[in-house]
Amino acid sequence: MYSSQELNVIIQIYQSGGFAGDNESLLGRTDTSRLAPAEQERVQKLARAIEKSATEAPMGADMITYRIQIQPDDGPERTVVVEDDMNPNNPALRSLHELTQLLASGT
Amino acid sequence: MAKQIESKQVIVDETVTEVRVPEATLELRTTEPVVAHLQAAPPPIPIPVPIPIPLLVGSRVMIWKQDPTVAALGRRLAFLPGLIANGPQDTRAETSLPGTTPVVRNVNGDFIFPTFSAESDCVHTYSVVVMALRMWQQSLAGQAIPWAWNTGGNTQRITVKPRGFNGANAFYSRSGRELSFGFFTPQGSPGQVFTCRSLDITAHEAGHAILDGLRPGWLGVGNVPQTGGLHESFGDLTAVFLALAQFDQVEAFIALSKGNLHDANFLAAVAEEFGAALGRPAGLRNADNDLKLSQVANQVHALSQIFTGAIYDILADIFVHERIKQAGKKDLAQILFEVAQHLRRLLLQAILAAPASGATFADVANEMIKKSKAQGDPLIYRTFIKNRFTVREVVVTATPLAEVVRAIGVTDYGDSASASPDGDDTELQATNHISVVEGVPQDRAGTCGTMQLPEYARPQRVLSAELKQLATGAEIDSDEAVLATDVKELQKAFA
Repeated sequence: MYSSQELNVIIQIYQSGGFAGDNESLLGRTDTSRLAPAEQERVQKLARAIEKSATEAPMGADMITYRIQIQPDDGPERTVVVEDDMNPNNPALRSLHELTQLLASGT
Repeated sequence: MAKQIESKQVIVDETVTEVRVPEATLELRTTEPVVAHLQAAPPPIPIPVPIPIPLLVGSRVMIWKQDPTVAALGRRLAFLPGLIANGPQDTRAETSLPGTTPVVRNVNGDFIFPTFSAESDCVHTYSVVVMALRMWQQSLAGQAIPWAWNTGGNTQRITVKPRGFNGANAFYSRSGRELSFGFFTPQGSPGQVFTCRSLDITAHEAGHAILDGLRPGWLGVGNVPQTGGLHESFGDLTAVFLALAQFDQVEAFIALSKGNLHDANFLAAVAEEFGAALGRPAGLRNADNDLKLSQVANQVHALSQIFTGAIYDILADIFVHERIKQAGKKDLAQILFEVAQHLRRLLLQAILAAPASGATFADVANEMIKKSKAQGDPLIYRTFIKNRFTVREVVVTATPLAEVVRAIGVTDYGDSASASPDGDDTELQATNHISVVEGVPQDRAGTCGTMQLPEYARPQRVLSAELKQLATGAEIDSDEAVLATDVKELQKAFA
């Protein structure tokens, strides 16, 4: 589980699957050590939210799969998998989309 | 009576039935008029008021026969038997597109809307889902197929979302009890692609939902990769079989391909428009492929193509056999239609007999052979099944692969008794491959791309009830109230 003590982490988000069975592709990457403190805190908060809420994957077929790879600078790498069922009430998905947008904006 | 008319010179002998009429001489005509009361006609038999034949209730819809890019087939009128309520919806499926649904029928009960309109997308998507469900139910002699959540009397419908989200995908969600179809703008294209307009994509996703209702243990990621491949293959095969369940598509296919299933064709190409948007001009996937198990790993979409390809080859083989056997007796399109129907049923029976979880391609292949033998199919059917799954490296046989390939090359397609080198009773062994090893995770990404049903039985009853209500001036039930009467029947079926 994500520790609030972790200061610096590298987060990579990969996307795959769907009806087409697409290969995994990198959707976004950030190294929090290079972020301003406010951005660093925001990214870590979203990553914690994803890890916390991505407990039960929705059952289905052909959903887009997101793999979030979290590499702390002082601990083992962790991976979280989120299936996209387009459910706006899915907290993991909400946090993931926010994080993805954040990364796309250059964070 | 005869005595009364003697003066009229009409002689009727009561002892004989023959009536004698005097000759029409000039004398007779100038003396007195002839009043030829020969005999009173028997009273007419009253013609009964005809009982009208039962009306077939249903709606006409417009559907894309493949998708907007397959111009040879385009968009055509189809008839869906059964009461389709505004939505469109029935007891098994409902449509959801905020701002558009419920889509309202016209006065004839039809759902006809302009091409590319939101209403049209709703009607097409709903219709294909219902057609796919009914097609598989027909293969079960009309038995209702439940959705995965229809247990313990639950009759909740599946929700179809034709424009569910902005994205190049479409999916089935058991958790959300829905089929959702995305739309996107391909790079360099001025227009949007709506995945719901593809019969293949819609049928594929409906196939996932149908198989999940039949074999709920096959969906989880904890199954061996081949089980995931079976799920994906069932989706693509639903699209192929749905096209082959429509006479106009079968006829068009025969004309375009000259009856050669291995010619490049719209039937084998899955999701043409979607594939083109991704730079794959022959469709996203091709059922007529030559992939072998050794060429893929644990990616479920890649694996699916091997099973789909084997079934497509078997379809082609049986069609050639029946074409030779029934030459001159039936139209080619009819032969293909019937062969597809037969194979579809055989496949479904095999799927239902396969293990409830962790099923492999070999499990289904072996069940196909058993069911085929049990129902008395010609021996050559089983030869086709064995050979095709062997060549795909799905199963291993005692006979070396090279000999099986050689045997296929010299098979007399007209000989119903043509046997495989291994005979008819040997259980086929699954090839040792990563995709059948327990514990190996499924990779869901990939490198390759009845009339006994309540919905059939109900309309006449509903119509009668409505007629009675009309006669009494009572108010007609709403669509929802009418559909609600069927729910009770489904509750029994799904209890």
